[in-house]
Amino acid sequence: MSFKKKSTYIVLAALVIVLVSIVSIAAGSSGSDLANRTLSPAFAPLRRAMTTVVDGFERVYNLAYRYDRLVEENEELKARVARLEDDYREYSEISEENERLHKLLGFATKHTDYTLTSATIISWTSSNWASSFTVNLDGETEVSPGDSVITETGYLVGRVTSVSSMSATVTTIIDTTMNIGALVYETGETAVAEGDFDAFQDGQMRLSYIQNIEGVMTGCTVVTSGKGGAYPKGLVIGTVSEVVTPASGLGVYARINPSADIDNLSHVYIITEFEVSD
Amino acid sequence: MSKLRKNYIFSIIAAALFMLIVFVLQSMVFSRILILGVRPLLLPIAVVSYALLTDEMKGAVFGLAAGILCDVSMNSPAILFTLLLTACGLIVGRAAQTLVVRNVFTFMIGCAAVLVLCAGAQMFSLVMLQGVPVPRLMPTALRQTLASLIFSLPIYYFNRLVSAVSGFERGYNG
Repeated sequence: MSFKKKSTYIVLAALVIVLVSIVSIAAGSSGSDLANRTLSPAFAPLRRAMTTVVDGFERVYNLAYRYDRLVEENEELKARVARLEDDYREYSEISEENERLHKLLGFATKHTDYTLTSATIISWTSSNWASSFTVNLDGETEVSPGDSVITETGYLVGRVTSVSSMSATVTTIIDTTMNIGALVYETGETAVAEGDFDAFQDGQMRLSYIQNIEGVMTGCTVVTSGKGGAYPKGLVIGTVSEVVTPASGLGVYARINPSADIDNLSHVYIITEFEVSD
Repeated sequence: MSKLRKNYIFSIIAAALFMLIVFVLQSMVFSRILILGVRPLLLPIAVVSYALLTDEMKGAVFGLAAGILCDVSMNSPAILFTLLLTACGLIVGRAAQTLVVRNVFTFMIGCAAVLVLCAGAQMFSLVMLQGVPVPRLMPTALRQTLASLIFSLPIYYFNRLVSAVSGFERGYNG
């Protein structure tokens, strides 16, 4: 056999093997199992090499021709992330408001005689000598000076001291000008919760004119007495943090820690109407 | 419109902007961020700074406007700062024209004096109406003055920058 004829046979045989293997691969695992099992391992490196080459070409193609599309897609995704973040913020705000309203609902259910108006704090005083803040009003609510201001849980925050068409100034309970008729909840002792400069600097107020100091202990709850009709009865002012006896032994008083977290308030509720108790 | 009139209007706008920035810092930023445990007073410093670089009339008008804003930021219906800062603007502006050299040193002395005066005026109602002893109020007054003085140089140089751009500065010697 001549060399030329021999090479023709070899090429033919090689072609047959390639064709058989292609057919067997195309037929899948169900058909031509023998050819598949025999030839697949032999072609695996070639396949891997081809896949690598094709992937490489695809990457180059993507870089060259799909770059603009990727940029566009990236911008779109960024916008979508921003939208989702906005939605999340909105959701958080709604969730917070929902929680506040839920607490308020519980409080309002107990005190059906109260007419409440919600208000958002828009600014705090710059003074180091007084404690007050400004709330916005929608212009339709009838808020007037002297109205009590509370949190959603019913803790006393302060009192409206001045009102304009769109805002009102609230003086907080720790301000040195405050005087509130109070009651020690546990003992029923009447006293006066008042602002005091030393206590004010610690974010507290003072409970003075206590009839029977023995009954007043640290942790006792102080509520409004409702006497005089300036404040509704039973609003929680705070808890007694310390009973102070001066060196002279006269004028014993207690320090009150306000229950409302005055420094971290953002929303408050104004009691515009309530039934005065006897 | 003449160039002189244009410059005059521009200097008024610049002064108003300067005041507004200081007001925002005092009433919205430093009403919640405490320095040395107290809220600094920035508008009186702005009045001293402006009056020192201009004259008594402009100083008084600037003091009047700043005083109104200061009373607003204190949530106070009283006109304490309106009167006080108008007088300060007038006196500092007059002194800058006649008595003192306009430089950083005189500015710092003027600021300290005005801040002590402001603290004294704020203490007045507590002492007179509520009978709080003066020694109990002194630590707060001192801290307020010191905390405010920290901001005097930044405000001064910011005002000088604004004045240099707008052209309301005159007779500066330092």
